[in-house]
Amino acid sequence: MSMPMIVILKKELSSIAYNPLGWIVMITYIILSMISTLYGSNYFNNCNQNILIFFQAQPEIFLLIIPAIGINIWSAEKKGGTLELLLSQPISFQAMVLGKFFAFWIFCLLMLLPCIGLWITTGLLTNISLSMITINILAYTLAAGAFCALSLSVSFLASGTVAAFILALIACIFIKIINFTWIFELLNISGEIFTKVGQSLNFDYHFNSLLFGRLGFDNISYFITIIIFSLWFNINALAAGRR
Amino acid sequence: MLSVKNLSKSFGAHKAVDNINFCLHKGEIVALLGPNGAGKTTLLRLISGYLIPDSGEISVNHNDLLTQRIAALNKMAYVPENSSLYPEMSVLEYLNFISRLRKISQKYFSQNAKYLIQELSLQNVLSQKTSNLSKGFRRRVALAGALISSPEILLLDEPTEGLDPNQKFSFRNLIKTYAKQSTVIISTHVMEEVDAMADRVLLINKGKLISDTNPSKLKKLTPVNDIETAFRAITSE
Repeated sequence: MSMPMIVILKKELSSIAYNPLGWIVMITYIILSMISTLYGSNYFNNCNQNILIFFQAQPEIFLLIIPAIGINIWSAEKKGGTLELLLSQPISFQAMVLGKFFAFWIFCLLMLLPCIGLWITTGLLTNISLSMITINILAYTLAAGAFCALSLSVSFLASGTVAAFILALIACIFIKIINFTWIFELLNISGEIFTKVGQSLNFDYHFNSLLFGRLGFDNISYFITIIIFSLWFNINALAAGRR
Repeated sequence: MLSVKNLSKSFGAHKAVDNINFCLHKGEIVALLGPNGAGKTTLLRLISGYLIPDSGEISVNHNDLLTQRIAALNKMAYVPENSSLYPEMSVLEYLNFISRLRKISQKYFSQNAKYLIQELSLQNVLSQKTSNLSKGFRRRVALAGALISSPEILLLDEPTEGLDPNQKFSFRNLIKTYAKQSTVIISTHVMEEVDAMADRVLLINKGKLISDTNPSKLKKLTPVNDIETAFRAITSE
């Protein structure tokens, strides 16, 4: 990691922490996660305590939470005029985008910390294995990374915070709900190859596969591809935005 | 030191910078003069790397700004017109942030920051958030941020706007001292500033460089021997 990237990462993390919106979003996240886990799935009914329920609800919660955290990352730079200052510094576009992305991602991972109590309680009640929790955290991390990268790159195209939120929300919903299997069925296209293509482009398929412990290359590479492609798009948009 | 060749930039049908050429050398204080909308800010934004030209070349010590962007920007610092600062940072945090972005050693930062804080009278606001500062202080903090790395080329867009007469006086002294080993480009409307500081004047109108001269020659263009009259005579044509 280059030094300017780390400097931007630290600055961005403190910006999120300085902004009350970041804390409001974090509290909202905890409330939504708890409600979905404890009340959305009969958690209190006998022998139904399962940490998986907590993680299964995360993509839906991310749809609201991640675009809300990301709205200020680029739009505050544009609105405050600091983008002019940043672009005239001797740092690469990659360092700028990666610094912001990693700060955004780290903040999303920090949101998990207040929920640890729930996992411990559930673990004590159900004898859940540590390896399963680790795989679930990995699924959470990759899905959060994909949503963060997508929100960051799409919100760069907007100049205001509201437009940034709407654009990021649309992009995240699109990537979450798009299901090529339905599209192929609708177009009367069938065959094993199309079923596989449909599955390979489906967010829920890869996320649920990971949650159930299938640590396949396809599942991990799906999220990493979204992250890399989104960041590549952001870097190019930043460079081209100077025209 | 700074070479600009056939530089052009358009926004739609409007030509903001039209085939500008000039070369600046070490030790020069250059005033970029022109009426509103002449293209001064666009020209500074092009030189600072914030905008990409449609055509032409900008090179800093033989480093092309497009192909060797980081090497070229390493030698430059830019203070935009609005002196944008990060509102969540204190003055000291801001200076530290810029110095770390520019990979300045902690030792050099301590020495230079101490000097700049004293010269720009920032001692009493060091721990204040930049969002709580007055316009004059914001300008001085932005200038300190630009000077912290001792760049070879300093670009200033309307630098004395919002400063009181005492601050303007100390600012001019600081820039004059600083310009002995660097090149300073100041975009300004204030003729008094041109008279007091500039060695060279680049007069821009409608995106074109219409005069590249020095203040005394510019004055002599009119019988009253005054820069403002000369400016009005040239740009009102």
